[in-house]
Amino acid sequence: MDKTLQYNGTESIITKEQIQAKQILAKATIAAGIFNQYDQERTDRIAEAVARAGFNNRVQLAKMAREETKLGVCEHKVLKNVLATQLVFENIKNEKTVGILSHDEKSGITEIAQPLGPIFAIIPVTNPTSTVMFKILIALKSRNPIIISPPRKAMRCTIEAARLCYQAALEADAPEDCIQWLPESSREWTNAMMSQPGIALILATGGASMVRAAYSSGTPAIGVGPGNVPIFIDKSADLPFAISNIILSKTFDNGTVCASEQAIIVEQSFAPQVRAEFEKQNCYFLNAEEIRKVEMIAVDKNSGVMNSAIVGQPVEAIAELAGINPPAGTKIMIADQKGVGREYPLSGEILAPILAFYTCADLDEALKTCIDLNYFAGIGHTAGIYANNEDVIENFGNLMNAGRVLVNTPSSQGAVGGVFNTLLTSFTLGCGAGGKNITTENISAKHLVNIKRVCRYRANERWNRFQQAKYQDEKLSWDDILQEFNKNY
Amino acid sequence: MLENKHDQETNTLTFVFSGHLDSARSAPLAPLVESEIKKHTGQAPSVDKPFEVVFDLKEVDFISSAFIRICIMTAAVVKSGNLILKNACPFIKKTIKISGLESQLKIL
Repeated sequence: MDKTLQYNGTESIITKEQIQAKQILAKATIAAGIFNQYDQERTDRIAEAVARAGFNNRVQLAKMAREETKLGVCEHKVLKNVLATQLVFENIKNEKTVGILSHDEKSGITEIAQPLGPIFAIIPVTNPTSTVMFKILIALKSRNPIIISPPRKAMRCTIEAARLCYQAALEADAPEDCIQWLPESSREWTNAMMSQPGIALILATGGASMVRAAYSSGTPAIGVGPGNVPIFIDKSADLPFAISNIILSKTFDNGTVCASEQAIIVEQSFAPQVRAEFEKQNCYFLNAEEIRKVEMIAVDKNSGVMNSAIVGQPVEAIAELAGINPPAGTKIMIADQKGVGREYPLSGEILAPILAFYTCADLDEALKTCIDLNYFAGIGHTAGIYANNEDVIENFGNLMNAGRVLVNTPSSQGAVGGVFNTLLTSFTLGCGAGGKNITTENISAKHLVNIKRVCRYRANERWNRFQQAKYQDEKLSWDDILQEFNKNY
Repeated sequence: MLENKHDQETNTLTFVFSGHLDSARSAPLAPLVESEIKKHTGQAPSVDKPFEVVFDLKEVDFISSAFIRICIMTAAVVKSGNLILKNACPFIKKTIKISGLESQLKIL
């Protein structure tokens, strides 16, 4: 560690991470300067080259990720890599991100794109290669250099994905150092990088404490924390379709997507049919003793945080850890729950094929349970409904505080967008003010561009012809003034 | 718009509200609620149970800030967690969540 003299005369300690972070940032800042000169065509060539490189290595990177993290399912990781390259590129390829974006003669406003500057991207262990390729792609499309923080348990695959993208970007004439990565994964490194004043934006995807640290750093951040996705199955739902969708989604990569279903909520009168359909489609309702055992291994009771040992694991591995024996071929384990909160460990986010199940007296109680789940641990993220009754869908949409309210859609794939709906394909899902985000949108290249507005003189005709001395007359009311202001208009 | 009854066995004072509790309608309710609660908090309890106040909102379709003030005032008088809002419709439940009142009362 080095010591440095502060302006106030005190000495402070500068860590090796801070020194190196400064050097990394200096390189990224130069890259930002050079990038700023690129036109749209040159920028698009780079984005396409990166998308192609990521896509062409989708299988190899998926294998590496599975092998290194021991999470999820290799084939599903391939699909995630496809979403992050092919579908993301499809979204952004025709988007204007350089120079004049629009000009409106009538309003006199010209919109001009301006890159943000160096972006610091934190990558989650659950989706390492797909998220890193996604973040690189949207950063370069918007002419921003990017610095990657790989997760400790997915260092090799994340760096390999970044390296392949960087190589392709350089071959397409991108600025040197437009993609960099931290040499180690540690809190010290992340904090050192986040607190660099030259970082323009942090794209933070991961655990709650890391997202909180990003927000606390003083650097603008788009952070995506936990989701706790309630799925309401209404009596009007197409039940076999609903259950097969839920299984498709909750088993996708063994439930590692933060938008995956966490709880199923049904009315009492409909519950027997729902349970029967789940069982018919090879899901298993745990008994009270099994629920207790799963609770013990799924969540740390003191902290309320899910146990990383079960994240992205298949049913068999979780059952073995818990010491239970669900029927062979079980796709999802389901636990009846009586309440929501810390005292009900399975009512929060669990990124594994485990679902909470709530049976409620009536529609109102079901909706209130959805609100409780939504506000307990997933505010602003995602909620879902299976229904064919428009009134119920509208009511549910109004009640949930979620950036995405998915209707008759598998929530993992639905929230990420591009497969079952027309949401922007994204691995960073805005969670609005509830999730401490500025937006509820799926984050894409357009969010990494500052838009300048060049405003031409356009006089407000009514303002100019109105005798403004009248504003000084206290006796004139709103109605009096507006009548005069809008006269003959 | 407001009925109340005290259950001596459970030491629970229940207020049943109804209608559209906008500011004009809620404001006159505040002194009524306050005086009823005072009557009971001033007495020695007949049973060894903490005094609870229940606001039954089954027939309520809107609450105003004046009604929220009644909740806050009541929550301050009864001990922590002993004000219970029950039978709220989902819309009102969400209003209570957004208002950040959950730490002061229970909503069932």
